[in-house]
Amino acid sequence: MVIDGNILFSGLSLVIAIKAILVLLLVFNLVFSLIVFRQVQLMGKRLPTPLGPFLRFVSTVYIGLATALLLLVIGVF
Amino acid sequence: MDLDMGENTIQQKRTRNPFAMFAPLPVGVSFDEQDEGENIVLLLRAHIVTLVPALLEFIVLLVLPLVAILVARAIGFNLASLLAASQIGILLLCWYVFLVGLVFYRFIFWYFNVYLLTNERVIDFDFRGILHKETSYANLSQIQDVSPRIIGFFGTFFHFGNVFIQTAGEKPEFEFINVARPDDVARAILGEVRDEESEAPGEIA
Repeated sequence: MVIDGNILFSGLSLVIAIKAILVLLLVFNLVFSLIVFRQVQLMGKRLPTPLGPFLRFVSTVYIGLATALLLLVIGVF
Repeated sequence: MDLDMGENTIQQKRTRNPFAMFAPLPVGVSFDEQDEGENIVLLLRAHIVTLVPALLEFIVLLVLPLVAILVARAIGFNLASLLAASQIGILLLCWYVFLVGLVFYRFIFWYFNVYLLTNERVIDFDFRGILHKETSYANLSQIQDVSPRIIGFFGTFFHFGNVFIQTAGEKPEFEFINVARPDDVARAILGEVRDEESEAPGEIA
């Protein structure tokens, strides 16, 4: 038996609901990435290690990724 | 430099591995309140085995979308009738970006939860949560008792456990949790305490 999604939900309203939830989660993810970046920065100052610059780089890339994904969902989804 | 392990003085090489969980004389590591002449004798992190639950969680979350798609197909739920292929792709991308964030967070949580033994004190860098971090210090001269404990199958099998340090300082008890070779850690601390006791007051050596 095949369940057609249109029977369960109106297709358009479901897409809008998914988009809204996704945007909310991605905003939280962006805030999370900023906090992680700050934590890495602070811990890197308190406890400098050879891996510190790499961790700062990864956390910066993650902020970029989180921002790009948020913009992608807002614009394309 | 020798790291005093009680009766057996072990010649230790400097540790260059940045991921080491038991790192005598770590290279390139310092801390912000390090005094002149103060050297890090031992750097400790939780044993790598303690990351296994996080690794299993990661594997489950990694395959979860694929399992969900297979289950949806098996019960006849047609996701493609609700969302375009590009939208499903974006959903998957979001999932894996969240997963990368979670893995990175777990890693830095492990990486920055560090215990240090220097030639002057023990330091506990506690990174308890995203908004909670704490640093505790105890001078070697304040240490009264050190007791290592290895409990349970995994602790015995992989040789890790806790080291309890009683001090006369502001924080009466330090706990090095899930560290590798707890008995060696306890011996190293007691060795440094003995060295500290033999020094003149205020001397840093």
